[in-house]
Amino acid sequence: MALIKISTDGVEFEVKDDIARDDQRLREALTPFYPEMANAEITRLEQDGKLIVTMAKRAGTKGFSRSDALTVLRNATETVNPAVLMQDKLRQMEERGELDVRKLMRLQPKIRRAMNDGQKQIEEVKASLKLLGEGRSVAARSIPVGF
Amino acid sequence: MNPAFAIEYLTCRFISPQQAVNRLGDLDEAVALLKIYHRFFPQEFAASKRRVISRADDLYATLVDCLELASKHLFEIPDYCFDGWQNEDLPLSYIPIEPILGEWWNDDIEELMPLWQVLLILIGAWEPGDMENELFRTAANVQQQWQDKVIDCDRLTRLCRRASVPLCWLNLALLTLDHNTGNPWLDASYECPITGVEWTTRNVRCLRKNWLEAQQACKQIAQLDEWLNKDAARIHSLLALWSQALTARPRSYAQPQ
Repeated sequence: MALIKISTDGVEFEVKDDIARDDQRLREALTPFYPEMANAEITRLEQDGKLIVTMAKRAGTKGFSRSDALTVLRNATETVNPAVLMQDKLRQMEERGELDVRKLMRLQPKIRRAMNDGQKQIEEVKASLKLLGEGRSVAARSIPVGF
Repeated sequence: MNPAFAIEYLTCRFISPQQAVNRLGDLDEAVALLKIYHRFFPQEFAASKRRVISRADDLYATLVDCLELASKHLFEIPDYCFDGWQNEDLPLSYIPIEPILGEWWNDDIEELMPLWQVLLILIGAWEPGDMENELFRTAANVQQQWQDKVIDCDRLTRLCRRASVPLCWLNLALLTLDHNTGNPWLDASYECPITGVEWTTRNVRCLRKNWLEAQQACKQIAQLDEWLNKDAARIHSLLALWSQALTARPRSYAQPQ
């Protein structure tokens, strides 16, 4: 069994040698418990025939990197503004002749929620666009096709 | 489907998120008024609650019914609110509070009721041109003698409690002229409108009560005006009461000699 030392908090434990000798398998084994070890710096040495593995968190860039931002954007789920959805639902009900005064009154809590959520989303989109607009331009590493 | 027609169909149905929020806001306000309809006119509401809304006009027709009932049975909704109802211009956001007595300062003062003219003379806000009129001449003469005095409204209120009808309403008339009665229907003006009162049951009840009180106040003021106008000699009773409520003008407000 190999001894694993987590340098950030001084925790030590043992894992099987075959896992300890393989960076990829070691990271996969530890990441669920120590997410910051996903890109840790790994050093190995042998003492008295025992493998000792030290894992140190690699210093990353401060804040949110470009790749992080792209990942978040790629992973973001597509949504339609709830106010648009509610307005569309009401329009369809109108067209089908399914909307009357009583039904409209019953729908008021949903209408109000859609209106508030929709306005909130509009503000968030405006804030995001403002941030993107204010972002500093960065030179690309490669020349885009066509230039 | 014809592509051009399809594009037109979709274009008509496309709305931006902000337009959708605004439309839902309008509907939310419309529902607030429908609740007033339901609460205050349950029988009429019952007849219309199943009205199918297939176009915006259907909803506005129901709201106009409600506003007409409110204007007839609760308090007056000004006519101009109905003028543009087809243009979605109904007073849905807030209850319109129309000043019952308007703004005397924007009217021809000589066209105002005599009581108003006498009070304006007494508070030093107007000098009559027509000194032939006994009411105005008497009021203007005493006002000259009371240059160093001002009316104490609290004292006048106390004195009016002991006065006989209709002179007991002199303080009410003065406060109404000053738009300072505490009643929104009497205090509102076009220059300083009272806005932001939403269509809630509580607000409607409160404004209904204020409306009845304002109507009563207008009747009392009209009665005092009629009493004064019937016999010019009665101004002496009014001035006697007024003089008891005078107090020395604060030095800082003394008019230059």
